[in-house]
Amino acid sequence: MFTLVIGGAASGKSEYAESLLCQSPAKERYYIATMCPFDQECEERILKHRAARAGRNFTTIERYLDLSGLRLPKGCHVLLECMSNLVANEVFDPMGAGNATVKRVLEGVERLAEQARELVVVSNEVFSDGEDYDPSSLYYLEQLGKVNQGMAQMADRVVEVVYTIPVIHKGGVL
Amino acid sequence: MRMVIGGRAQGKLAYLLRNTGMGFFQVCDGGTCPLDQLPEAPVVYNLHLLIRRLMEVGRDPADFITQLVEQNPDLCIVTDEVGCGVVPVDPFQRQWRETTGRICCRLAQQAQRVDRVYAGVPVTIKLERVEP
Repeated sequence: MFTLVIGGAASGKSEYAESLLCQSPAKERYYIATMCPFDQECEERILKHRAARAGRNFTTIERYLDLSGLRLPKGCHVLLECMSNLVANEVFDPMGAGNATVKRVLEGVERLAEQARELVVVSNEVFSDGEDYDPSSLYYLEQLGKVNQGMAQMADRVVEVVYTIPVIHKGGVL
Repeated sequence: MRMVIGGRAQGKLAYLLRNTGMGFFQVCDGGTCPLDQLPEAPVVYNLHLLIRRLMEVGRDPADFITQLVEQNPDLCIVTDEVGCGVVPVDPFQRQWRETTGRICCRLAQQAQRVDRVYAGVPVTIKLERVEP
């Protein structure tokens, strides 16, 4: 089962995604962390998320690039957070996939979905704010939008989290 | 307590007033109301702006809003759904989005009803049935 969870900033999407993955019993739970800690604010954010996960028996794997190269034990439960960071890394990091980001990231998600029994991917709603963005931000938005659409096609369920409330867009009642 | 949320200029307040039969005179605008006292109106509009104004003067918005809801458990809150754009470069803007989001998460958990208005069309995303 592949569930895509999307929400805005501070919408409760992480808490929801974690609780979703912890509903069913699993021997092995993996948390794929995609945020590269490049400043103190990132580090604090990472610590906050780690504290929230503590006691839930997750093995954390840091993966900032190249999702398709990741191998996990067959049948495991996996939470990937957050797709917005992974796409930003692939687009902007010199080591990243650059113009091939959408294709490469979607291949990676497909590999994950094949390996995992339960897969939850968290992505970010960043498309509904009428700011004047610079061309590189607009390019990034375009890539993330395409990745979200591709994942939604693959996913069994698509859930938007609105201030902690799940709004189902695909896949019926949970 | 009930919440009406949605993007900017989607008809949130108009929907709430239509739905409840209340009028504009019962609305406190969080964008302009005095900050030295708790609003007593049954509707608090622009909660996201109220939060920002409280932060700008160094007050704790979470505390203020907790008191507000305690004072009036039947309060109707109308707020823009912020936090659905690219992370802002300005640290205060980031902090404001984060604070607004967390406060709204808590309010939505407490609320008996949450409606989301999209292009004027309300969708009820949470409704707790109250036993008579």
